[in-house]
Amino acid sequence: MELIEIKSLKVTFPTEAGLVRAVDCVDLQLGAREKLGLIGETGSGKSVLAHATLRLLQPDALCEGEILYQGRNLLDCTPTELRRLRGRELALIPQNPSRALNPLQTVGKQLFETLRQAGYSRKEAAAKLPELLRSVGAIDPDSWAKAYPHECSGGMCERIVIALSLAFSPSLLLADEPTKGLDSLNRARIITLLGEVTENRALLFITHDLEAAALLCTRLALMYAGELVELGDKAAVFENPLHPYTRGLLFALPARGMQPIPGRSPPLTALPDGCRFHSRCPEAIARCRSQHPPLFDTGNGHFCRCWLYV
Amino acid sequence: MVLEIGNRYILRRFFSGLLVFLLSITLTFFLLRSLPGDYMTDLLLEIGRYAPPELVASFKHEVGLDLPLPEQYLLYLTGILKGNWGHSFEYGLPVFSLIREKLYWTLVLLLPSSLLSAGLGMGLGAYSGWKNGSKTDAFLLHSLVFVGAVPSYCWGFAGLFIFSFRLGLLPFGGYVSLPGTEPAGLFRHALLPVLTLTLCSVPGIYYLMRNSMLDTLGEDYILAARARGFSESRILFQHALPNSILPVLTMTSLHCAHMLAGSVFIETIFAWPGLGLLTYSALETHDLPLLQGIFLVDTLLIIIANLTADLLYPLIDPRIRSRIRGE
Repeated sequence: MELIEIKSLKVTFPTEAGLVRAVDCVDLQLGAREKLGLIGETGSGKSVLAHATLRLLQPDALCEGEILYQGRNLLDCTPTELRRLRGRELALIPQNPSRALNPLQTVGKQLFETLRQAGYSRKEAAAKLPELLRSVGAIDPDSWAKAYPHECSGGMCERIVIALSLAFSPSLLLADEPTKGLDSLNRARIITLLGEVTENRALLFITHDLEAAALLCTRLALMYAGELVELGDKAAVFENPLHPYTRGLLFALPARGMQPIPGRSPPLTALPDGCRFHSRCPEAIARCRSQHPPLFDTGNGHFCRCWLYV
Repeated sequence: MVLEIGNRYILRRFFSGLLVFLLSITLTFFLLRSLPGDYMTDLLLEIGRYAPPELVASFKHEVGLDLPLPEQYLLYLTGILKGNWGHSFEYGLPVFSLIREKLYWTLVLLLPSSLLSAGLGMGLGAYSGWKNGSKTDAFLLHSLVFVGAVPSYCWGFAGLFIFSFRLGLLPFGGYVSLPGTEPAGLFRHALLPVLTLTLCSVPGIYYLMRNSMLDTLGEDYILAARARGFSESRILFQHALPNSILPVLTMTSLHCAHMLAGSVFIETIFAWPGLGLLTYSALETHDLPLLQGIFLVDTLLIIIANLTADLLYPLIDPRIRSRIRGE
């Protein structure tokens, strides 16, 4: 059985500008130790998908479809059931780590509180704390524990939020852009660290950093304007990208010519008819303007939402 | 720890307070001297007579009001430094001892109402923000907008009308402290003015606290705490509340100091023998030395409130501590 199975998930928010369709009919599966990279640009709905999985969206967000965790639909869980799953089974490594820490408490206090939440006694938690900090790469755990969040660097904060998510032993880590805003050295260290700590657990790696995803993940899913546009094994996606958007992203990499995709993604309140990418697509045909393409199975678990592969 | 980090910080705060104090008493001195009318003219007008100019002149000579302004100002400053705040025209007594006695009775009103309004304002504001969008939140918000929109003296009169006139439960005011006055009498007299002062200060603190709570709830660390499965009460008391109180703290201490201004109305309405009532009568009679002394004490109280907030801040917020250490 898959660890987590997302079935035709739809997330909408009512706003003054109209209904925002942040996630639209997304289907995804993740096995027990699988590492899946969820790639897309800002506003493509990838963070919303992660927050929906943990049921952390604002109260007026409407979720339809199913999110099955070990066969149980998270969208039907009561608040108490959700509290037992959050952290313990499904852990989030939030975006902007420096802002994800309470500025008034020391790192140690926040870790201690989280360890206590994970069920350790005071004594056990105090003993486990330095060990946990060491596991995310702290050489001097005591000085880390005494520091306040504003005294920590970006890389340190990232490690601390990873430590916080590991205080429990979650079976799935949802890492929301953990390499964002880090210099190349810290980025490489965080990628290595994430690889180490997810050896025995599943990882949903949300990023717009294609290379980081390629290093960490076995499968890649690409999102554009709220829907999946391509899904497949890492090698297949990198060597044989099917969707013009994926190809565009690959050509935008520094190693492959640094050619950005022209234009910008459509607003989620006014999505175009037909393919959502057609206005930016160099290969668009007449059909792309009028008909919305479904996700086609092109064989070997490689899916693509494009009329070129009918 | 505070002492270790903050000697320079405290000193700097203290000096800036001193600067504000000097500036403020200078301003009051010259403003009061530009008031039209004088003590003697007003006094005789009260009994229906015009004061003869030679009488006014001889009074001014006696109290030193005929000296050139810079000289008067210098005399005033040196007097303050020596602890001589002058004598009241009206009472003939040293200003300092007059104020000291009245200030005590004003603080009897101000301290409980400060504590009550800070507690109520912060408590209700935090609850309202936490329950944002609920019926309780809407009810609190609307009723406190109403309470805050009505001037303090209207609430004073309303209280007198209902509890004293209609129900006869409480006295109309006019508290006199006699030796051996039982505490029950003080309580009965102080109840309405304290409640009125509190009622008028709660809305301001409430809005601030509610907004601050709303801002805090949008922060990433609240979401992150939820993602770790913390209970709602834990998120409220460990994360949301301490962070949202911070910006409200300074404003609350100032708010309490500003109650002094409100107490002029309230003490006049309830005939409470405090500094507010004294201010009112001193303004009526052009009692310049007394007014100067009262404004000096007002200034001091506001500066002290400000200093208290400045000194409390680094105790609560580690970011401020770091900044002070870096200075």
